[in-house]
Amino acid sequence: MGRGTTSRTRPRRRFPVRSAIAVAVLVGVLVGFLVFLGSVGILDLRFIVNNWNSLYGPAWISLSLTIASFLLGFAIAMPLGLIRAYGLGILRRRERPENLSYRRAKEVFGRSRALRVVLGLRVRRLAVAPAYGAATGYVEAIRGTPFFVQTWLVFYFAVSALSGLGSQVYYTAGLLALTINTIGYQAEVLRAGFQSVGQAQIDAAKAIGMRSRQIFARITLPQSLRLVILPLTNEWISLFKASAILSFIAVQDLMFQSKNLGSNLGHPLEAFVMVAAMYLIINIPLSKVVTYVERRRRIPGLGALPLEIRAARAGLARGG
Amino acid sequence: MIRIRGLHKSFDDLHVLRGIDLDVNKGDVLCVIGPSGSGKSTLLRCINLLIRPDRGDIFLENVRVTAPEIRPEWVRQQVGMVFQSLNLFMHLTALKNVTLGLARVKKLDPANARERARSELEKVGLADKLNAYPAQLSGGQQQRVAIARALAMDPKVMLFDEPTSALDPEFIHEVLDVMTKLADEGMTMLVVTHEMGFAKNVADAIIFIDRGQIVERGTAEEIFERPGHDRTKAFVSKILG
Repeated sequence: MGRGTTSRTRPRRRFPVRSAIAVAVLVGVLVGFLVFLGSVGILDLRFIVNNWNSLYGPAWISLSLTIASFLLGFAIAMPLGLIRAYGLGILRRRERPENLSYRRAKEVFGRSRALRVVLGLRVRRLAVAPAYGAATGYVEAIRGTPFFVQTWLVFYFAVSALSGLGSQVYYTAGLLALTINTIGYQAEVLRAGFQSVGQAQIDAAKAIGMRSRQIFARITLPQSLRLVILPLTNEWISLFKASAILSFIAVQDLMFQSKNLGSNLGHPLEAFVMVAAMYLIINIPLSKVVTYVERRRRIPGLGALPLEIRAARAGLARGG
Repeated sequence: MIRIRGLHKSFDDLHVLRGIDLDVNKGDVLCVIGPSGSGKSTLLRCINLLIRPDRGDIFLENVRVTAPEIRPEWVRQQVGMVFQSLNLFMHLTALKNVTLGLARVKKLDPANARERARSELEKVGLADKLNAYPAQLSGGQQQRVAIARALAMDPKVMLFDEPTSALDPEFIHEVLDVMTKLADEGMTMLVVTHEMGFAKNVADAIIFIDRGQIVERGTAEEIFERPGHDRTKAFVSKILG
């Protein structure tokens, strides 16, 4: 790190030439290989060209399901990650007697604050431990069972409980299954992010008189969000791929369409090549753009890499 | 300014502070020395309530800050602290590190907060580093930003917890210079340090802490040259080589 020798605050990086070349080479090789297979008669290229347009609808279904469940999942994973990161600490902290009576609190704190203090202590004792247990159990259950199984569970639940939705029940079940799954993974990524903000940073903020809510909003959140951008991108990618499983419960996504083209029109190889290409076309630009933006906006000394490595070590990466 | 009576603190089985009584007058610079694990840092952290003592009382200008109805945030605003570990906010520039407390705790409007922060950083000689991130600053520069960040809150007392221990030798003097200037301006200071030069030249008094108790209090001359207690003698001869 250039010790104060540079007046620029953030190093500006050029357009990522090398990674652009890598993508170009990859695409070139793949297309070349397909053309070769076509020329020797293994692959019917005309079929691919003629049926390409039929992928857009299903692709949108895959994409919209993933986007919706990812965002919904993030909103719910945030409190889960918080309770996982801080629950035990709150339980361990004993700054004031937990069985403080209201009468005693009124003597010490005055009428205006007494109720808040007493309620706060009660809630802390009665709610935090169960919430921590529930969050931990949820995360373990999601990470410990196959997404395939989760999907079927949600499907049969939806069929019996949400049958009023008619044909919408499949799409709804798909959305539910993806959301329920991604909550578990995102909660763990966020927990790791919150916990990677060191106690020294928190102490420094306390020492200038910041309140805990301010510390969270101004210190913990901005630092941890920077750290979780790349792990969350990984989660997005694996969620998008996992959405293919939803074809089994009659969600008419990309994977469903490939089975359609394959069995109905008798071109399974072409159909799966097309769909694989579609997944790539959606995924690669997204992850490249996020990585590029993250690098450009990175603050010196506050990298995203350490957490990614830590997350990988903790077994957060999802296989398949 | 600060009055401490009968302060005790335990962490689980470890009895870290065993009855500390201490008075610090306004404008005094008090250096705290003692072996590691003797409770020096814990004592400092009790004063701004980063650690809540088990027993005993701390008074700041006759306000009993250990009383349960006192908000710790209020106390910490009156008591600035500089830590051993370099703990500037990693995601903020030097200027923003100082501005944050002014804007969020003191509720200054953005323009005033920025102006005040700029002048605090100028005072510690960092007018040209306003927009540098902590990782782009040397250890000495980071500690000077940390001092500016604490001073911006207009504290009545400054606590320094081994502010130079984590620094490369070449950067120690620039931090001590800033602290000396601060002492000359009349700031009340409590400094945990092993910089004997600073203790001799700047401190009004030195206290030697061992095993959670104040063993001896005296001037630099008394502590270093005529220690009255065997434990002080042993420690002083060790650090003076």
